[in-house]
Amino acid sequence: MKDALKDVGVSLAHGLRAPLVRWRLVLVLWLSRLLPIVVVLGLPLYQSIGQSVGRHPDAGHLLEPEADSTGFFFAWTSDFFRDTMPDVPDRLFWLVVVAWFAVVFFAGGIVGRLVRLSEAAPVSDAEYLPEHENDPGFMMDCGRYFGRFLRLAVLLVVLAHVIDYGLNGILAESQAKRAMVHHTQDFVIQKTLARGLLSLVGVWLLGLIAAYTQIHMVISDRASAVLSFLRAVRIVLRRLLSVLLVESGMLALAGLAALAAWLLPRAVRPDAGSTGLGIGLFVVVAAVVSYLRSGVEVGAMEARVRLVGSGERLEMEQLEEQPEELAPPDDPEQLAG
Amino acid sequence: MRTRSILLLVVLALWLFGSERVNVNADAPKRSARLVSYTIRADLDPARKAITGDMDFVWKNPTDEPVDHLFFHLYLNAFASKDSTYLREAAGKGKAGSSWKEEHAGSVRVVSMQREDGDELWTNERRTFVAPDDGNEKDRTLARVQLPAPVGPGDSLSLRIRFVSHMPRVMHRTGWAGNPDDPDDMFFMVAQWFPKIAVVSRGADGKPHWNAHQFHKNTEFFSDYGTYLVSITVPEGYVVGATGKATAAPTKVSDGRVTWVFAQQDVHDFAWTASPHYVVRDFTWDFAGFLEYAPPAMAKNLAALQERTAMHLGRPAAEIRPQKKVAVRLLLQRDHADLSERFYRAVGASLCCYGLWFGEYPYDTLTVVVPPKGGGAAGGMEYPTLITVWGDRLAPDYSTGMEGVTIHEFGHQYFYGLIGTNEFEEAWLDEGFTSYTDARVFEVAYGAGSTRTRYPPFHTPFHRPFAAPRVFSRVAKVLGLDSWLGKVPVPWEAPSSLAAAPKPNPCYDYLRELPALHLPARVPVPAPLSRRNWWLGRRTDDAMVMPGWHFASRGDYAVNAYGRPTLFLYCLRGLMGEAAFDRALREYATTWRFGHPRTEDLMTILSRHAAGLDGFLRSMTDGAGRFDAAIVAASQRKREDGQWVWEVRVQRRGSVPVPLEIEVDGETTWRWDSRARATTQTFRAVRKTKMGVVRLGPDWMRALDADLSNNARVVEGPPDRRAALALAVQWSLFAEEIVRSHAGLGR
Repeated sequence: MKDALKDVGVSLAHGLRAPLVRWRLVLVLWLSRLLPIVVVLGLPLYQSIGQSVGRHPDAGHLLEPEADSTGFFFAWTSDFFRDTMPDVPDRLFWLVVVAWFAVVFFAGGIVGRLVRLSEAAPVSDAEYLPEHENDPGFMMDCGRYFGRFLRLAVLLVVLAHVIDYGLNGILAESQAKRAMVHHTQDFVIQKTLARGLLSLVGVWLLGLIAAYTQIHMVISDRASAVLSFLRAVRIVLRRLLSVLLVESGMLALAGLAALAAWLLPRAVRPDAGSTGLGIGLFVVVAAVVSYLRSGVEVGAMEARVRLVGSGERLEMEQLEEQPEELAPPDDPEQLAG
Repeated sequence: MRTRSILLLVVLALWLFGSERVNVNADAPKRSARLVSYTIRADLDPARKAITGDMDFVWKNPTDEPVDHLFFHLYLNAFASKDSTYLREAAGKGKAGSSWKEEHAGSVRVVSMQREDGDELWTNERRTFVAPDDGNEKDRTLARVQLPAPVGPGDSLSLRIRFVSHMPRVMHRTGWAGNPDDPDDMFFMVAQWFPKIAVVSRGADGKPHWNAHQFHKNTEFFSDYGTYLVSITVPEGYVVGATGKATAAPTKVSDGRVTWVFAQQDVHDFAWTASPHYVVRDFTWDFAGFLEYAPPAMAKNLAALQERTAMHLGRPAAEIRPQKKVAVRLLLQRDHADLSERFYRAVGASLCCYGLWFGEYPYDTLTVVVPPKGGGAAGGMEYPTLITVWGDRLAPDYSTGMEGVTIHEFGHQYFYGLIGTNEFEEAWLDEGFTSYTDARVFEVAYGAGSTRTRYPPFHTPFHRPFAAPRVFSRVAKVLGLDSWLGKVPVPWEAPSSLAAAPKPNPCYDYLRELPALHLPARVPVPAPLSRRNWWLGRRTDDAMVMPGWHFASRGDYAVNAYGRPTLFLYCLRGLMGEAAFDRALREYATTWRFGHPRTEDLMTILSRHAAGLDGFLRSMTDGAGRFDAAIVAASQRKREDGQWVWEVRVQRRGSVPVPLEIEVDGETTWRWDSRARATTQTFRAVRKTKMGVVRLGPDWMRALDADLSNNARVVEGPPDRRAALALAVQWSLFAEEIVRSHAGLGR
């Protein structure tokens, strides 16, 4: 128990330091998400908005819409996205698709790097290795694990939709029929909130197991998404308390980062009288907060790797050797043999 | 001397008494022509969802010619078969996520229709079902009955009609909700439930002309005024609300059954509701009392409105102030018991405003029905002296949707109820007038406009984690499978009735309306601009005045019946001037009280109150109604004498003739008459000072203008891109949040 708590503490410590120490990995994740947004959405918006209201004396209303009793913000925003940039929802959709692939692609490099760092400096080792040491090639890992992580990602999407379909489809439909005979909203409130909560917990657990699956895939060099996923479930269940403690800690950190993302840009949000400097400050703060949130994601992954990296690595190896779970060989040559 | 003094006192007393009894409806008819009389004995059987009706009906021929046949609305048959015109138009779908099912069908069956001499009219030889609107032979919502002998001009015909109405599971407007296995756990909204005669009038050729239509998805109302006396027998414990005034306390008629009796004159329809679950709240409204009851800001605005309206109408305030007391009954669900004050405030403010503008509400009662959760499809409807609204105890505190729908449905007591326009053929005369006036009431009662948190064109359904159907539908669209998949039922679509809005809570704000994280929340929306955005977004070029079923879609109908007329009337008020506009509408409302006006009748009155409106009226009612005023260029140069030559080039696009004002630095410098034929004009002036900001007016024009970004311009200096940068960053952060949430499953 004491060792387990120590593992948790060390893992969390690594997770907390990661946003600063693993800045290259964070930068990759951050830029992979942000650059497409800037290119596909940010710059065209800047150009179009500039052309639309660059000479309009009421443009200041757009920066303080809550106080805009003239309705200019509401009317202009509607017009703009209807007439000038009607494809923003499409762009958002494709940004999500691109980001999804990017996350899958770079996850291989990030997890691979973190696992190797963990192997080079075990959790009991107080020394914290810098990133550039023991580096077999970030992009090579990205390419190496892309296929198997993609299979895992597809599996996750399917499972997520199963949860969604079950809770918000079948169950919601059944509840809707029953709700029609009720005279009060009580029934609806309770059931809707319960379904929402179950959905969120389901997605969170799915993401949690997926992260350990990725780590397991890298450590064991296994390619089967389904078997790795099942083994990750087993690992999580075996060390449930440690996992939950680490995840709770990182979740709290993510919550703080989200809070910062909400509060800080609001605190420096420009208004009608803002100078170029004020707007620049807003841009910088927004970028820094966004970077920090990506840093927390990398930190969470490092914490998991450190948690699994000590005892669980050995256990995984033992599991690999257990004869009752015969995974199909992934190597086509082995299959042919 | 003493006798003279007494006489003087009597005269003085009479004068004072008379001054207290000002007839606020002096310019309106006192009563309707009362062409019809319905005496109905109805018996509700909740277990069968059936009403057995026995009706004594009297009809008077208002034309100058004999009439040898009648048309009866049998509108409950719209819910009888999926082949009815209504269900075809609605594709089987109702409101609040409901849909038609055969086991919950509704119908009205006429058992007999006899003249006083016992002659049966409801025979296959004399009765035919007709479908003048679409020729649908399977529609049974309109019946033609051939009379054995014509009814002479001014003569009356008495019939005894027995019928059985089976109420549908409520999917739209009328029907039942609740537990079908438990008669004591039911809600009934009973509308369009009895055979009702259509309207006949003198046609252009001098002959009787029946204006009779089938029941449609968009439209359902047009009837003659008359008298209703209806007794309704229900199980003991049920609370009944209905059109008109209860003539006595409910009386027990048999074991476990009681009868409620309601009577009302000068109305053109009768609807009622029954449920054992109603929570009843009673209020007595009168103008002065309500001003004391209302919140201070509302009371102050209402008092100011009285003064302003009196000034516009050129009459003393006391003369236009409503005098009548109205018994307001709220029939609420347990959920909404705490909301009764909100409903009453909305009703009270409406009674004040409409009374001041259009003459006082002439009836003794008003019943407001809030359907239960399962009966939401019955909400948002109007019947004489009875309206149905919506209640949502989960609605955020900043939401005023409940008040909005209450004011709107009350507005129909005038524009539908008292002014009996033909909703089938000219829906804008009731829905449009009601939408315009409800926005004005809302402004008086609650301030200018509502607030919105949703961003067009987005609304991310983040109460669900992945918005899975959207991803699927996008992929399907990309693969070209959307039309095929469109035919597949989608059980994952959560019914809208379940998409309850959570209470105000930052966490829910985040989950439900993600833009709030990075984009401003609760944006104020002045009422005309919200309608403007709706109208512009719809991109329909239909004429505003068209039969409701001729519009290609519900959306096209709705924007032309509700949104566009609101803009039209808002701009018309600006064009005519407030006083002339208020006088014109007052004349329209009082002249046509208990009448059936057409669009031309309104136009005649409007033209009497302001000259030169023809082009504007025609372009808005018959044309596409598109308009955009733009500053194409603005420049200036300095002359040798030190003076500045201003030059502004303005363009007027579209078909609506709107007079323009061109302001420079807040002062109107040029005017461009609406009669000018050219679409572009250059205005020049020589001034001592430089030109700073050019702006197009008048202000009301913005409600119609398709592009507000070209209405004003800073003449000199480089474009200011600060707003562009800040907005682009905000939207990028928003996009990042979407990407972060949705792409998380990649790892």
